[in-house]
Amino acid sequence: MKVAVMQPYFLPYIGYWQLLSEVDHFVLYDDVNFIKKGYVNRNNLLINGMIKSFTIPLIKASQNRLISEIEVDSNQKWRQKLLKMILLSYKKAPYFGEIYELLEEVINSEYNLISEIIVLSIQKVSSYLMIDVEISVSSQEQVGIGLKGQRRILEICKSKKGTHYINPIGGIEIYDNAFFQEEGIELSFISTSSKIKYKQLGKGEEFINNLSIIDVLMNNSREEVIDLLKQFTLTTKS
Amino acid sequence: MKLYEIISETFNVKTSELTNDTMFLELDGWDSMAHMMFITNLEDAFEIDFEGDDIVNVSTIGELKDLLKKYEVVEL
Repeated sequence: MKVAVMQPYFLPYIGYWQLLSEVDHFVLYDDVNFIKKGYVNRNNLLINGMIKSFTIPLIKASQNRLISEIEVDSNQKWRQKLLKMILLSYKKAPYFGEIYELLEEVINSEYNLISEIIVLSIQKVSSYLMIDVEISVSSQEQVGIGLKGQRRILEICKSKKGTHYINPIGGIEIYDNAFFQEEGIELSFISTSSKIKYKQLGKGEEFINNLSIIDVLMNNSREEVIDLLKQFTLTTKS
Repeated sequence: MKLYEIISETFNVKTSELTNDTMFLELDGWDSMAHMMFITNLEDAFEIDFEGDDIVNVSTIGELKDLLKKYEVVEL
């Protein structure tokens, strides 16, 4: 049983979906502190070939609060704005119709918390990409409360009967192989290929990488995206 | 400046706040997923492929500059 534990991101870049598609169980780690300058509620799109960021407005988001506690600001007209931005950016994209409909369903659904809209977006996109993964939310299960760092991750992994834990390569420094091995759990790190390229609307030969999955979905067929999801490597810590 | 722009864009930090001693783990926007994105941004921008544990052993901007020099990146 492969397990990943990762903070929730709203419609993140392809590396996040590669991790999601590689594991059997994906735990959305939302009972940790919000990362104010991170990617929980923001990402980038292309408008007329230029990078443009989008953000979901939040109420009292700070690094002293848990992601699971943070509400989306429903007073702002951000839903219409974001949908309009997507419409203007991608209306001529080859897969605009079905993807816009999917995004409209996510963005216009009922939710209060940022983690709720993220869970919904992950479920919808995973289903579209036929990713067979079980998703759970750490704040709803309360496993290993009081533990920090890799100790808590290990407890969560064990609670899912995990035999193999996979983390993004960026976290390699804070993980100890022996610590996982003692519990019979294999530890690996995923790296996205920097060779991922596809034809982007509004760009010639130039390619802008690591945009929101929206850009990937709008410009590629489902089968092409599924192929892109396989372009990663798994390594172990020596 | 290219390097500082990549760091700034990936971790949502001002370039003026960055020095050679800045540790990636201590940036406000750091998490392991953002760091993974950062690695592909570097490989793409400088047209290199990091080998083995090279990039994962880097903790500070200064160490990253040294590593990029090893990969014959001249313009940082």
